[in-house]
Amino acid sequence: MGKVLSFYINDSLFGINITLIREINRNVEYTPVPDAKPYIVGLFNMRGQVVTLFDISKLMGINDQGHLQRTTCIILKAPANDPNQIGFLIDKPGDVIDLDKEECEIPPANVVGIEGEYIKSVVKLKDRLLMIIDPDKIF
Amino acid sequence: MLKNEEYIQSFIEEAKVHVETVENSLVNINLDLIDHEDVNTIFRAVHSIKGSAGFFDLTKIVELSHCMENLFGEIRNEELQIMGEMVDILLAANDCLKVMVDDVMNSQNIEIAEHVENISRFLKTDSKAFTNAKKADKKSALDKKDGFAEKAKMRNTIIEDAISHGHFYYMIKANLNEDLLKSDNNPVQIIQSIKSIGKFVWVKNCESELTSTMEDSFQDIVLEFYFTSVLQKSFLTEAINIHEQNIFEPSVLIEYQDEDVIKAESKLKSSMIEEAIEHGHFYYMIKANLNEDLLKCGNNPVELIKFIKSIGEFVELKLYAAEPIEYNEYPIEDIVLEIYFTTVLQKDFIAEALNIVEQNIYELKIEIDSQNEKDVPADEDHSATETKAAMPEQAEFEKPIDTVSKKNQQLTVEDSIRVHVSLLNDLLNLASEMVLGRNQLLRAMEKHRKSISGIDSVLQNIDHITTELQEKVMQTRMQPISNVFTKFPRIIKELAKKLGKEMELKLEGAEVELDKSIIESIGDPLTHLIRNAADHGLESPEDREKLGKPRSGTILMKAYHEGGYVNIDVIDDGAGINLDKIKSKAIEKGLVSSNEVSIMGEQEVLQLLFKAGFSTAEKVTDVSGRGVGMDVVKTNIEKLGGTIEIFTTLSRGTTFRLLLPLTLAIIPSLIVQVENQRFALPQVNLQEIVRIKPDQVTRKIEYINNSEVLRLRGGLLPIVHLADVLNLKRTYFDPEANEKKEEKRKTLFGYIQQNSENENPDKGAKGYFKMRAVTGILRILVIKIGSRKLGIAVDAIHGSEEILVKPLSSFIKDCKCYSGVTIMGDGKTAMILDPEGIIVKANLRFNEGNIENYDARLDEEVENIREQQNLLLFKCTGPETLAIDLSMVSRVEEIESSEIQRIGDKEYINFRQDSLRVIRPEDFLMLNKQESNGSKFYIIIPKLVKHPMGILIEKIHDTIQRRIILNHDEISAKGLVGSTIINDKIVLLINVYELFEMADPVNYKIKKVNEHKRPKILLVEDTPFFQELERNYLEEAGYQVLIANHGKEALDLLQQNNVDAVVSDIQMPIMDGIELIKRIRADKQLANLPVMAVTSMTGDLQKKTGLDAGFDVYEFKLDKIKLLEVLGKLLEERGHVI
Repeated sequence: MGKVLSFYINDSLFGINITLIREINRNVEYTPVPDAKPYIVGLFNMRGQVVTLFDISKLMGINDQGHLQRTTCIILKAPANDPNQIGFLIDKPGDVIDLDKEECEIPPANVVGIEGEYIKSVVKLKDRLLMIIDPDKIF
Repeated sequence: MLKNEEYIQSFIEEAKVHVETVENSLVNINLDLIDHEDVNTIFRAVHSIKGSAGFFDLTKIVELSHCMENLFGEIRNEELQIMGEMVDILLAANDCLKVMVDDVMNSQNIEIAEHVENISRFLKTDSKAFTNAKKADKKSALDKKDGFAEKAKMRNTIIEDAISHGHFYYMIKANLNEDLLKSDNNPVQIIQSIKSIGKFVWVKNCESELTSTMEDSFQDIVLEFYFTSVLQKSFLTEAINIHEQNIFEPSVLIEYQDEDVIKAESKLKSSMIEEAIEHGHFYYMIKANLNEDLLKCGNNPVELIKFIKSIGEFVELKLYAAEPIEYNEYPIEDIVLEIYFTTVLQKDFIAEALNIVEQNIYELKIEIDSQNEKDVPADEDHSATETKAAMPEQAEFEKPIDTVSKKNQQLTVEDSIRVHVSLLNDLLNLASEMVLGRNQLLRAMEKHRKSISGIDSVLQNIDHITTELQEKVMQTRMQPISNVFTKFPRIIKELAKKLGKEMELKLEGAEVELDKSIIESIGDPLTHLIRNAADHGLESPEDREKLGKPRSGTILMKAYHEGGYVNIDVIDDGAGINLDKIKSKAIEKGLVSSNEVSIMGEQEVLQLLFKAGFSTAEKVTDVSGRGVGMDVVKTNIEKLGGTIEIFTTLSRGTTFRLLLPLTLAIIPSLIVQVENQRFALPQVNLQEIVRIKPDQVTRKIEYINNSEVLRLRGGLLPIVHLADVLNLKRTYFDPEANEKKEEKRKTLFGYIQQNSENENPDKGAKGYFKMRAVTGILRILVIKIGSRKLGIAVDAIHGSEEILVKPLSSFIKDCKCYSGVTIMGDGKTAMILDPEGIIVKANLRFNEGNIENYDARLDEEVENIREQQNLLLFKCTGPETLAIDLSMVSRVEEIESSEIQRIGDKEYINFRQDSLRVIRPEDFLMLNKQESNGSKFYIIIPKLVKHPMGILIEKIHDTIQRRIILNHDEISAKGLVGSTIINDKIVLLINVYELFEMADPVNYKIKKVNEHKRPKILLVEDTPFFQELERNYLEEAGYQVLIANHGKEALDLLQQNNVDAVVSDIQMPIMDGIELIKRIRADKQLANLPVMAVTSMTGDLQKKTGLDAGFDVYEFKLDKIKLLEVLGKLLEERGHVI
């Protein structure tokens, strides 16, 4: 299963395969795109490349209570010059976790809808559950 | 010294790839199971090397690769089994080839005999043929490297093949001077014509004529073109433009020349050369391209040979098409002449005497004895010795060592490298990033520049280098427009034939560079325009003759820089576009109604050409006139961010002008802001910016059912708010609450209406709509896309910026309003607005036929563009209000009456330590005079006069800016320009020069022009005031004056009248001065007309633009003396030309 980076959105713990990540950026200054889809937060300039920032809490239908100004984002790897450079806002990054196969489970049957679709597997950590998201499905 | 050196780089690159292919294939070859495809691959690769090397005369490479090719040919034909030993030898040979390719310049010095020998050992049948060919080659001691017999054989196969396909075999025999050049028929063109109708085999000079050149009867070079074609002989004359008597149908194929004859001939020649050398002659060969090196420099080869005969012994002329016929990879570009001769002169003398570039003259060393010996035993032995014997070429080029080494160096320096475009794009990105970084650095360091010693120069350095870096990176994507232009001569040639018209294509500005992506996409539009020009534009030769034009039409394609854009003009001197025809056609096709057409202006009618489904060609030819095209051309050009314009004059011709941005990636755009967000709007579509002051908003913006419109020059302009289009919440600043609040009113500027209606009771507060003044200035960007116009209201405009366009990510592609993203100077991203998308989004439906009353709008426009005048209103002692144009006023001084000193009957004041005469206008003009009672006066000190005098006035009323309507009939007197009415009062405008003339006749006397001649001047001026003033100046000086209100009127007048000179304003409606002068200079009859620009814009830049455009002089319009002086001079200078 390999290494997974965990991160928080709205107190929910998510994880993403670390090999998919290009970088984590704090304090991004993004420009909103009026008239775009609501889950598109805006664009920002990452060393000359324009990255589209997503709000995956909106995408996944997570109840977003605090309309907090998030400024930390995870940017996914993409070929250079691909106009579709993707990043998404998170509350804060967590740890990098080594995962064993046994710890992972496919989403339980009652996790359905969009949420279920985007979650690749659920990891039973000692004290809580970690949801591994599947960027290919999301974006 | 190398042939076609400019292409050698590509040859090397290509050959390297081939050598590598051979190596890989050889290494991987499976001896037990030969894959035919592998062998084929190697064969093709080696063949390609041979072909290209032959083109460059790299004989060693040719020889080695030829051997290898033969071997693989046999293997391919299964005449030979490949074995391990063979592979080793081939690999060794390939290595040798590699060495030669890597160092092409020295490849001639590399020993290849061993490899050739090794390979030849394996060769069976073909080797004999090859060596036989070599032998045959040797027969002619002076023949070129490739075997004559071999070539003849090959040519014969070509001919036989063609005949079997129904071709006829022809030969054209023509004297170079007598039959061809005299009638402007270039042999290279003949070859090209032949190629278009059949198969060109070869060209040579007639051998029998050569022998006669030995005796002194040499008159002309006789050329023989051999070719095959399906056409009958009678058609050939037309297709190739050659007399029928010059065309022969040879019954025999190309004969192998009798060996004995060749031997005898070559012996004869050899002995001749030998003899000459014994007498201290040098043996030379001139190798030159017929067109490129000779005819272009006015060097006629026949004359050349005649001259050679006068300075030495002429030996032989060889002539061939500049291309190995067997590899038709290169188009025939020229005919190569090789002239062999001996003379006592040194090389540099010959170069000078013959007017030939020294590089084209080769000194040949010939060891005739050994050569002949080698020739003799050629028959018997086996191939190995044979090839070896063939090794040293019969004549070796002597090349000085130093040039060789120099050349080598050059080659390595110019080394090019293939780079993927995406890498260049990356570089471009990074460079722009670096520019951003630099800007940030400079900003951050600004404060510390002084405090950190030495930092200043470092910053400057970084600044400089970054700019240069960005420029260089930009350059990597730039390509000359010649890449596109090169294909047009051929198209024109084909068109000329197809359409039966005579035409000539001229290309200008092929060196102008454009971004690669643009170069790639303008080919088709340009082709279309060229075809159009050839088909519709140019008349048939007969018609042209009737019109007194040269039979052959000219199409000029011109690329040049102008105002940050590259313009490409496609100009034909054909019939021009008949507007009435377009009109009737458009009505017929139902594109417009006859009512609409009747009110259309010229440009609007021309724009109809770009409508889909329009074609004016009376008969549809296969060249153009399919009714598709022009609209596609327009769309394509607009896609590139460019525009297209048409100018046409009946029976004079038509110009299509494409305006293209230099690069696609970077476009000038306006940065605008709404609701604190910035957007970039490309400037191509931006027509103007209307700025409305807060107190005027309610007056200017009107409503039609809550839709806002702006009256703009008689038309109604729909206004959309950018914020609304983008679904941004509009906010306003509430001064009471001192914060931003959401704007809830639909109609932002209509608060008066809203208030009176008060139909929003649920909003509660009646006072909400209370007279809240619009706080900000309203800015409206007027956008024009084709005939559609709209206004986009924005909050703020940040100025223009060159932005780098980046593609939209697919996640936001569905937003119609954007065409891309950019990163701005501060590193933030901004969306690039797409006006087209905004129109869609805002749901604006333009009636395509909705064209306002053109004439009315035109008048309005004239009214608006008319220069406004700044007037100084004042009074003297009388009650009359006087005015003087502010541009003539240097300053106004207040003085006490006591300062005025009388000397004789004149009054003076002390002004800046100098005495200045002051005059009272009422003394000279017909004004009421009263005793002044005040003690204070004002002095107007005019500028642009030679002998300044102050104008003494009593009171200054005001300065106003007005477009004035001048009345010069009611009140006219010397010293006055005329009268006008300002605020219901009659105001008299003073003519300062006349006033001064009256006051000081000595210094202000104008030299009058010869009364008898009275030159006719065309005055082009739109402002009535200046028109009157300048006419006054001119008429007074004795000129006859014609008046035009703008450039177009001027052109019409010029056609009807004989005019001696033109005096023109620059800023004018409809057609400005710059365009006027361009048209004048473009017109053959008017080109020499003296034209003077007079203007109120006197910046150096404007002056330069004016002079560049073709004005003879450029003067400030109010300076009478200078104006007349310059005009007089101009007439004198230019006078004799007319």
